Amino acid sequence: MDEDGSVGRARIRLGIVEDQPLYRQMLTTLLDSVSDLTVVASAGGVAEADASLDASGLDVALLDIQLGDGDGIELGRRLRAANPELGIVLLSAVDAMHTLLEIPRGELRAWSYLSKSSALSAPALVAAIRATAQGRTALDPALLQTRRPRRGSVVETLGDRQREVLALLAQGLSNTAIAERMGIAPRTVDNHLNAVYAALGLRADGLRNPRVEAAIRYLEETGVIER
Amino acid sequence: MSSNAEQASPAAAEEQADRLSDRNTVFLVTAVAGAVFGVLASTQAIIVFGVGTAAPDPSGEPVGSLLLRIAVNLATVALIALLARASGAERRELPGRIGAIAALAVSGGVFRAAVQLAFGLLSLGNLPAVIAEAGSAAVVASVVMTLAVLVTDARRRLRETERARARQRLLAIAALESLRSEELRVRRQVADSLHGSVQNAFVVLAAQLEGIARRVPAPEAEELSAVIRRLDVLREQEVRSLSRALYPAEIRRGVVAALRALLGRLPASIEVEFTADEDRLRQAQGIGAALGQERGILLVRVAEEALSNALRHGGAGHVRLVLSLAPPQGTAQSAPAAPVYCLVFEDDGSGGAVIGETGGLARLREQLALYGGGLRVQPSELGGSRIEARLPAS
Repeated sequence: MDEDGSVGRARIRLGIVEDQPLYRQMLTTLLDSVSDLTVVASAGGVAEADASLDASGLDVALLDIQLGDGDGIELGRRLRAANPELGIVLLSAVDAMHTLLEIPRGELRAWSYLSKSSALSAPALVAAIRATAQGRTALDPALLQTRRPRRGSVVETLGDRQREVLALLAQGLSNTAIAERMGIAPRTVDNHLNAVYAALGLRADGLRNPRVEAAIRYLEETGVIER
Repeated sequence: MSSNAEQASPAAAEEQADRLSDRNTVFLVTAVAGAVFGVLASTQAIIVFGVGTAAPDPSGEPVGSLLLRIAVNLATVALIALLARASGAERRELPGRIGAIAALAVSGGVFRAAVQLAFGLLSLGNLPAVIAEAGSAAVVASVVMTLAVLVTDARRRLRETERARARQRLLAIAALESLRSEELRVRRQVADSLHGSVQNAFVVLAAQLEGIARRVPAPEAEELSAVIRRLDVLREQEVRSLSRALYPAEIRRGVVAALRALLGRLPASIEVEFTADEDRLRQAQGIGAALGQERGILLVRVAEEALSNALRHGGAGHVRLVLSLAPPQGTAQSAPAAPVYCLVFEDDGSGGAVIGETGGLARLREQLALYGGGLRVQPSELGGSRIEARLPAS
């Protein structure tokens, strides 16, 4: 339909579910100051969200993973079931990015993750929301910087450039943005990505999105750097 | 009414089974002891008195007479045993018991004398002999009946002691479980608060400080940034590990999620293999054989302890964790047993993990045993230790 177009033309409609009033306030203020975003609904917990949040009126939902009265991920799955086009950005005060691995792979399109610290920096938050609204998965760039390919993993066997392309893809960047960031041609990004998909054994089969799968595999096959 | 009857039914059924078992004990003891007496008495009569004056055919074979005497005695024993079973003497008070035993003795004596007279083993002319035969049968009947009642009493006392002990054990386990679940609830509450509102407050504070840092001159802004970094470390490391030690938050999404989260936190330099039989685990949940949070946490603690041993003491660079579901190990007659969760950890470190007397693994083994599970340590094919925990589903 026209969802991609509408995302480009109209403002992205956001819903926020966060149980800390002060943090919710800070997010709302921050997001309303961005021209192409508008916060249309907010709730302080799962029960309130279930009762009052209309998923069909939203483009992206920002959900705290750990809400006082329940689980943000389960709430997200319910909202997604009500509106299959809805993008979801999970927020957490601690690094709980691996919880994305618990979402069934078939549902993972447009599920993103930001730490609450990163979410209070406007560029990271806005970039994640825009990527998610366009169906990509965006992982917290600051957290990704602390990760390296795990010993013995497939990601470890990738070439440096391939790995760099994959890390930028995992942040939710489009191919054009990756090309710009790396100072290479978009065609070259395509080639690197095809090699990455082949190495990870991913194919575009219509059922699963290789882009999302690759981002999740990157999360799965990297670990934190030793301090 | 009907629900009361349903509630009472297991106890009533148990009571009925007990009565039946007691009656059978009485029958068995009377029959066996009576038969032994009967055979011995007949044999003794033949040996001491010869074939006997009242034999139907004085010139007949002694063996034929012996067999007849034994048959008469056994028939008497059978009658006594059946009457004893029907009398319910084992359930009566002392006077009732004495009455039942006396009635039985008289019946046995009269029956035996009557049958012996009928088969010509005795003649009415020899009245003292008739009285002696009837009297001896009555004495034997009362002795075996008394024996049967005493044996049944002893068995009943043993049964009651065993049941009381089993009830006591169940009560102790239930009390312990309720204590543990209460402890878990409090831990979870505190951990949730640390994980949620305390962490959030740190995030908000850091953001507010950043806002101030942007408005103040450079030297102060530098100092503020240093404070913000320290706050971040405090939040992400100290508060978080405190919360995790209290309660692994990921367990809410199941034991697989919690194990994956645990492994995900390992440094990138450690090679990690994780296999979980997720289809079977999901099926198990479907049939109500899930692990439950308490037991799930126990398995996560085993993995934590094993990891910490392997990394801290064993210098491991490769760890392997496999979670599977073993089929139930119940015997045919017992109630369908719960499937057993099996967690196997292996590493390529220096090995030598031991359960010891008081260490972390010993404590975990005790807790696993409480749920009917176990823990063992062996050398691993990877070169380090292999730690296997088994835990039945709830």
